[in-house]
Amino acid sequence: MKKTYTITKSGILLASLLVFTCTSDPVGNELNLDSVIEQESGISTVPLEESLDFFKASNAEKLGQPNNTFDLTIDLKTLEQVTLSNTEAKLNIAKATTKFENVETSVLQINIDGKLQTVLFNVIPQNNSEARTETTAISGYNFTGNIVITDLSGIVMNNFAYNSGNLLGEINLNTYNTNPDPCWGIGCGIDLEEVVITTPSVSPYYYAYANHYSAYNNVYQWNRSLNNYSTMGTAYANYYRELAIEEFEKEIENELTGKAKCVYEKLFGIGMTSHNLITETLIAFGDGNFGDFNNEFHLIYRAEANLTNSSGNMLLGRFRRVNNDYIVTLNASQIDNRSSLEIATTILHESIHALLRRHYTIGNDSFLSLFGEYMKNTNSSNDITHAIMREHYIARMARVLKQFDNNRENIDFYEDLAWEGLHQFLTQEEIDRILDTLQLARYSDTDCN
Amino acid sequence: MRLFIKKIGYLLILVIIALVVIYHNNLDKIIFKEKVYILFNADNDSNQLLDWSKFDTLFPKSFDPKRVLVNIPEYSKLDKEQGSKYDSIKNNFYQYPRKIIDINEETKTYSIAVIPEITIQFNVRVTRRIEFDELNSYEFIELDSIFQMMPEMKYLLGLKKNLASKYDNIQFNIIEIDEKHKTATLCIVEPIIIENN
Repeated sequence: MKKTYTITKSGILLASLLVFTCTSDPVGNELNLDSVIEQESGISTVPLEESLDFFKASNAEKLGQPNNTFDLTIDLKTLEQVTLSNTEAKLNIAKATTKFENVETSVLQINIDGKLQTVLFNVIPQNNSEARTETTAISGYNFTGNIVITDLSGIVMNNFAYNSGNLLGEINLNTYNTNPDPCWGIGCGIDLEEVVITTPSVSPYYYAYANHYSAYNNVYQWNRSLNNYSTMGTAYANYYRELAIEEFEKEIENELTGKAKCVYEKLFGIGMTSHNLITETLIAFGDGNFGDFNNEFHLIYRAEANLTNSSGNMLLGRFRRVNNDYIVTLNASQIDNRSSLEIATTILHESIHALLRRHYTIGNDSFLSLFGEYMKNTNSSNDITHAIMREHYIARMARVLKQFDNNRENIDFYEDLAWEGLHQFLTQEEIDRILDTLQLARYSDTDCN
Repeated sequence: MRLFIKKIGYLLILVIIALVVIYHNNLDKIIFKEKVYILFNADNDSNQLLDWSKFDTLFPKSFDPKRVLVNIPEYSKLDKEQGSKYDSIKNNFYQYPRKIIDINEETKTYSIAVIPEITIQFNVRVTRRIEFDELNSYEFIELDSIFQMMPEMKYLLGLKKNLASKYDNIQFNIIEIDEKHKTATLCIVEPIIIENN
């Protein structure tokens, strides 16, 4: 029963990946994507008026937020509905601009199972004049560069690489780049800005090779149609990704109760709707991830009273691995007197411990390589995981906390919070600022409502 | 003579089959594990916690020294001089790494405090008494060597050199001695590395 369940889950994940990453031998693959698409009846058209209202609201929201660095503006006049193969549903597309002059952006919208799916389709040509022309980019012929799918805030969900019109494959964004600075890849919570500015020199290592002439309809579509893009596939990829993430979440054993449970559920809910640190944790601990289908391992969250270290110092939480159990323990005595935001910070902090240990234990090559580089370039002699957190995770934690807190404060506020437990080497001035932030956070939401 | 050769032949076949079974089931790693012994002394290693109440007068009344590790506001209650005193008292009392025997509600736990943020806890699987006089026959390893045997310690402490590949093939044993009563206990243990905070 367990095996069937695992296979089903793996199938869902594979389907989502194969939407774009075809194998070099599609005939030999048992999955028939066309039939999968036909069987799914959950796709429906979003009425144009509804899309128009949505996009208007999006534009208005941006105007109200002058600090919006992404600067997305949707051209309402370009909104149109295009047909898709294998379904009666139509896709709504509008052109958009961002602050990136060399990126063509479109907004795509469709309903899947009654849920509105909206993504940005960003075409980023390589730096040559021929590829840069709009015609070549849209038609797909001779296009060389990247197609990056993001959410409306510019956070990258998928990144596909093309060479002379051929889809090379999807860049494995869950793989850590060997160069830790900047930490590149969706696993690092990148946004479009980082892709545009610091697109890495991609080696074949990062590709799942694909044949441009694949029978897979959605891949072929890119080259066949002016308007269809690969949007059907994108929508499906997004849909299946969410399904897979939901399945992964079930794998986590949550033994928390009361307020801690409420915070946990709210926090992990964020990982379902957008890609962030929580999503990465869910993926890392979902069965069958990293190609390790036979390994049974569990991430467990629990609380114990009066947690202390060897010197009797009070702890907010701790992490340990016992064989295949990765156990995060919160200090139950420090739940009631702390705000939801502070508890969320502790859960995130401990989750990163679990995540790093998982990467290390499984021997993820690129992570070990990153770790080796880190070791080479650092003089730290102990407590490496906290050092890694200080250098690579503060901003990412802050982003999740901001989402958790419904964007009530600016990002600096949440970065201050993320320093808790990592603050040992900060200056007095920084400490003083963090103290003020903590004071505010303590009373922000004491009950987890 | 022929019968003898036949018997030897059967024996050889049995041995080969047994070796194949052992190899394929990874039983070799269980049967032929290298044993290492860590010495714990009931008197010297029993967990002693610093009695901060002796130093009450040095710090503000609202200051709770046990909350300092993770609580930024707590440490900020101290001025620079008080902070130095706090660090000095703490660092003089707690040495790292150190072995700890903790007895709590009839449960005895063995651990090594590596640094304040990292503890190796030993889960006891089997316990048996051994002769105190036989202690000389055991070769005890130093703490540094223990860390080198655990690949995860390389990761956590950034050790440049380790014997990671040996980890799966090591059986960790703790021998606790009580010199007053001339007793010794051997425990087969499983090390668990804990990251505090």
